[in-house]
Amino acid sequence: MSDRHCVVVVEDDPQMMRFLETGLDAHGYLVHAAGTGREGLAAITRESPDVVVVDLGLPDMDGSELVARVREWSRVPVIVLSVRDGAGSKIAVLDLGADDYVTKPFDMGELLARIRAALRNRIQSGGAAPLFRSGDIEVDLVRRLVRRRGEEVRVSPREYDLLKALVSHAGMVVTHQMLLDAIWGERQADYINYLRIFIGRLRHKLEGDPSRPRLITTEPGVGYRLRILSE
Amino acid sequence: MAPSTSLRHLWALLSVLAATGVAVLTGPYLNPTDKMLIYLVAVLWSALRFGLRPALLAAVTAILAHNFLFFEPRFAFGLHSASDAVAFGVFATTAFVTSGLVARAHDEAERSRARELELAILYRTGEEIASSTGLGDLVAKAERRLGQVLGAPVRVIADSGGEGFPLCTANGRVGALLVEGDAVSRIDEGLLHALARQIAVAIERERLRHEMEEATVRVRTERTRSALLSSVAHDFRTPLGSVVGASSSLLSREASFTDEARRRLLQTILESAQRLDRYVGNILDLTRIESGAVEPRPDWVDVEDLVGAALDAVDPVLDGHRLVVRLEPDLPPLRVDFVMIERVLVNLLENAARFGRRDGLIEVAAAAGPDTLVLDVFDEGPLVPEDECERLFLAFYRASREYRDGAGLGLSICRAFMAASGGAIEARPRPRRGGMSFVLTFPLAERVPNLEGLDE
Repeated sequence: MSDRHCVVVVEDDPQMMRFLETGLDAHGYLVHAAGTGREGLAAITRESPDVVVVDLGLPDMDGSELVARVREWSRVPVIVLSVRDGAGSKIAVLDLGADDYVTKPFDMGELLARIRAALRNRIQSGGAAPLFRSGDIEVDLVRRLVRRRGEEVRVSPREYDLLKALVSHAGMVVTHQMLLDAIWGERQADYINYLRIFIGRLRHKLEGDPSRPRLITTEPGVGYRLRILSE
Repeated sequence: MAPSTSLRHLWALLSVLAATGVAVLTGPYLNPTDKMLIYLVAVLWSALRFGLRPALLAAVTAILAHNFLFFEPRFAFGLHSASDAVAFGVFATTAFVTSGLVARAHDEAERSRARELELAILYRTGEEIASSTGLGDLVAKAERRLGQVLGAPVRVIADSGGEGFPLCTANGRVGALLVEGDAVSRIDEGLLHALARQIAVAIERERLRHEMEEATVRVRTERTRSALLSSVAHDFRTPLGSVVGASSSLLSREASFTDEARRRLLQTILESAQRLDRYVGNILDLTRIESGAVEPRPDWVDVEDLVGAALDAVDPVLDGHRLVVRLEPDLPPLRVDFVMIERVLVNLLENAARFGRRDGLIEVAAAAGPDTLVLDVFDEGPLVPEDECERLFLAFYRASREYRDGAGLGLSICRAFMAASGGAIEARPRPRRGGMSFVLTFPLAERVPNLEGLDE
C-alpha cells in the first residue's frame, strides 16, 4: 500500500468527477470514485478513507442523508460540495455531522485546503498540539498564551475560549452555535451579537487590518473560520 | 322611536276624551261655545304630536262629542239656534284647518328627521366600506354594517349570478344581498336601494382595482421575462463563447502555444466562468425577488464583520484597484440579514471594480448618525448624470455606453434587498472626487443588547 491519503469522492456529475479525480490525483491523493450514495457508502466501508468528499445532490439519496448514515458508525472527516442556496442547508448538513463544505463553483486550492485541514484535525483529535501557529500568530494552549510577532497579546478569558474553539477546528468552519456553546455553554439567540463583538475584538488584537480579516474569516450566515496561514 | 299608527290614533282619541272630561267638569262656569276652545286645544295637541290623520280623527270626534254633549238639544245631534250653527261652523273649520296646518308641519319635521337618519346611515356605511382593503374585507364590513341597519344577519354575495336583493351599478349586476327573515320590509325602500347601490359601486370599484393590479403585474412579469430572455441570450452566451473558444484552442492539435499564451487562454476560461457564476447568482436572486420569496432573517450584525466578509468574497476582483476602508470606531450593530446585505456590498464592490478606473480608488466608508448608519461605496468610475441615477436601479437597465458588460441586474437586486431590510440605496455622482458613490442607509435599532457581565 502507498502512504498516500485515501479520499472517497461521491459525485454523480461525470465532468465534476473527472475534474476532482484528476485534481486530487495530481496532488498526491488516492481517489475512489462513487457515482451514487449507495456506491459511496460501500466505498467508505470498504476503503476506510482518510477523507470523504460528498456532493449534496445525488441521484439515489440526498447527500445529507449519506452524511447522517456515515456518522452512525464513523468519525471520518466529511466535506460537502454544496451550491449557493442560502446558509440554511449548509448549517443543516454541518449539524448532521459534516465537517466542512465548499460552495460550487470552487477552485481546487480551496478544496485542497479543506482536505488538509480535515486531515490535520483528524490526526490531532487524540490531543491537540500544544502550540498552534498561523501567520504571525501563535497560541500556546498549555500556558493559555497568545502571541503576535512574538509579543504577548492580552486577551480576556472569553476571547481566549473563543480563540481556542477556533484553533481546535483550525482551517475548518465553526458554526455560530458551536462557538456559542463553547463560550457560554448555553443556547441563547441574542448572544450572537456578543459573539460578533468578541470576534471583532479578537480581530482588532490579531489581524493586521481588522476590516479585511485574513486570519478569522466570516462564513456568511454560517459561522467563522480560522485560516492556517503560512508565515 | 315614534309610536305606531294605531297607537297614535288612540292617543288622539284619548286627548279628546280628556278635553270632554275638562269640559264636563267646568259645567255651568263655561258656556258651550267656550267649551269648544277646550276641544280645540286637544285637536291642536294631537296634530302637533301625532300628525295629520290622528288630528283629523280628533277633530271629527271633538265636533261630534261637543255637539252631542253641550249644544241644545243635549245628548242628541243637531243644532238648536243660528248662533250655535255659526259657532259650530267656526269650530269645525278651525279644527280642520289648524289641525291640517299643524299636522303638515309635524309630518314635514318627521320626514326630514327620517331623511336625516337615512343620510346618516348612508354616510356611515359609505365611510366604513371606503376604508376596506380588498374585496373580502369590503364584504365583511358591508355585512356588519347592513346587519346593524336591518337588525338581522345579512350576507353580501359579490357575484353577478344568484338570488337575493340585487346589487346593481350602471354596468349591471355585481352581486346580491341575502337577508334573513322579513328584515328588508322593516326599512324604507328608498334607503335600502341607496344602501344597495352604495355597496354595489364599492364592489365594482374593488374589482376594477384588483383587475388593474393584476394587469400591472402581468405587464411587469412579461417585461421582465422578455428582458430576461434577451439577457440570457447575450450574457450567458458571451462568456460561454469565451470558454468554448479558449478551451477548444488549447485542445487543438495543430496549434502550438507559448506558456504565456496558454496561461492567457486559461485565465480567459476562469474569468468567463466566474462571470457566468455571478450572473447565475444574480438571476437566482432576481427570481426570488420577483416571486416575492425575499424573507430577510434579521440578526445583530457588526458592520466591520459585514464589510470584511464582502471584501473577502470579492478579493480577486479588486486586484488592480486601491482599496481604502474607513469605518468609524465603535459603530453600533445593525439588525439585518447578514447574507442579504453582504450580497448588496458584494454587488456594489464588483461594480466598483468593473466600472472604476484601473488603479483607481475604491473606498468603503461607514458612519453612524443619531438614528441611521450610512455605508458609502465609492469608485473613480464614469459619472452617471444625476437624472439618470434612479434608473440605474431598474432591472436590465445599463447606464450609457461605458457600461457594456453585465446584465444590469446587480443594482436592482441591491435595491430590493435594501428595501426588504428596511434600508435604502441611492446613487450619487461625486464630480469633485471624480467618481460615483453608492450610499446605503440603515435605520438603527432602538434596543441594542449590552455586553456587561458577559466577559467574566
